Amino acid sequence: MDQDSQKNYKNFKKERHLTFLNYDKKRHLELLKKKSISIESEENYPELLKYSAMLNRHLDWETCHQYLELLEEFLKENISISDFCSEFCKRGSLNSDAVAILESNLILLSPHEKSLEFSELLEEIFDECEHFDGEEDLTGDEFRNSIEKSFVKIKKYLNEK
Amino acid sequence: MRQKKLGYPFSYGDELTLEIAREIARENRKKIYINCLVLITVSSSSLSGLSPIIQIGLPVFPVSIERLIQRENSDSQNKNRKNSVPIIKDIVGQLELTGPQAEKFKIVAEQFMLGKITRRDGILKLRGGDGIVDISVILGFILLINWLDGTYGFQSVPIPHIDSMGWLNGKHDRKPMSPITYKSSKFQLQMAGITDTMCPNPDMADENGFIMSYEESHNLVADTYSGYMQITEDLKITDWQGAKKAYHVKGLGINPEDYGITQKELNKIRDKGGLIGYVQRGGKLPPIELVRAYQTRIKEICYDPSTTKNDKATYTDVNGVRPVTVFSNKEGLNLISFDQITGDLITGDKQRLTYFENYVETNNIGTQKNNK
Repeated sequence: MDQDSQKNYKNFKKERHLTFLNYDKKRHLELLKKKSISIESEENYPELLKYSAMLNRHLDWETCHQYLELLEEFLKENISISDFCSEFCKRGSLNSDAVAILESNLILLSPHEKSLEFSELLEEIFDECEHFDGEEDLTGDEFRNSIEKSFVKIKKYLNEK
Repeated sequence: MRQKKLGYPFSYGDELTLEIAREIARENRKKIYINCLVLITVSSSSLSGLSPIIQIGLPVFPVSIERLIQRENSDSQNKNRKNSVPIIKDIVGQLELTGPQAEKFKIVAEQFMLGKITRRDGILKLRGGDGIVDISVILGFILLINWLDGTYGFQSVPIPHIDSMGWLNGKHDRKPMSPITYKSSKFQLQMAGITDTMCPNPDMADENGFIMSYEESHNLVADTYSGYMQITEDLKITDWQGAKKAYHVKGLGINPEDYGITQKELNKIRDKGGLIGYVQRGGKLPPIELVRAYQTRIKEICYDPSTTKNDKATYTDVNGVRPVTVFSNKEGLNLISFDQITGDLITGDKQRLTYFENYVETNNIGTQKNNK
């Protein structure tokens, strides 16, 4: 990544963290209501997207044991790379779909304090699963090693207070 | 005593067994006409007495007519078929068809031999529409097709009564094909939708589980996926890339099973060696129709009025950062990315909310972690 991109990414993470700390459920609801009566504007969209992503992260946190189980199975070599990628992404998509259902019913959950960082660690794995096609970028062994590193980080994070 | 396997899809002796199935396809790869398994046991030791009595109900698709289609072109080019009409009489005599059966067979066979109808039409005419089939007439037609193939195909195999000694002394036994020919033809059959599994004999696979060399696999993929779909003036989706990313089709609302392949099969493309390795291991090729559907769906998304085009995005992976054009659709959470240097698709799928948010906020797709 060039310096500008790195800077942008750091800023984005900082801003996301601030939004997370200052989560405003009322505002989230307000944005959803506006959306439901079709007055969602381009202006509001990025804000709503942030809130929606926050809810998504919370659901990822709630289902963290399922992600961990999958990771363990993969690292024990009980499932193949293709099955792991498929199942991991499916797990993520289900949570994403669940957000849409909750929001359409105006059901909101306050994000767990650990959900943001946990989700960021998951994101590394999602990225790799999304783009791994066995042919380029990483070899199978590199992919496995990389997932293992992420798994260790997640475990460490979960064991922290 | 059961007579040994003949060069056409049935054998007879004390009992007549028609194994019209993959079993035969395995032993006789050249002549695959029938898809389902039909077993008929007849106590008679000869074919006499058979013809009047065998009328059985068959499943909805008792005959895999599709398998005959690939032969149609060569049939239509066969200009000498008029000269082979005597074979019809020969078959009628051999099968001892009754008057009405012979009449029915002759009409269809003559039309076929004169090129007025195709194999498919011939089978359909003989099969009728009520699910009741006069098997002996069908057999006659199959003999006719076999005879035609034997004459004009690459290997002439006479029917037993023409060269009974030859059959007894093993002259017409099937010889094993060379490994390369076997593998290639196996794939050709698979591409025609004929086989369900790609590697029926595990002994053929090497220590890596490969039944094809890298070069063979590469050539097959290159031949199969040689086209592309233009998306914009600068961007396209090659068939190869579409096939490579075919495991994403479900995210864009395409059901791979509608195209004869499962999601589980498509997922295996991601295993060691990617698409080439998958083919080397005998994986079923994603049908070109599925690839087309994927390309078309992506094009629709790119041209959707609610889709945003971004020419200033980046894609980050282990190789670094590269400029990409991204089409994003917030309604469907679709992200379609194209490499600006090659103009080809990188990937296109429905994304998770968090992933979509990351892209919207950073203008970047891909992992930050492995960036060197």
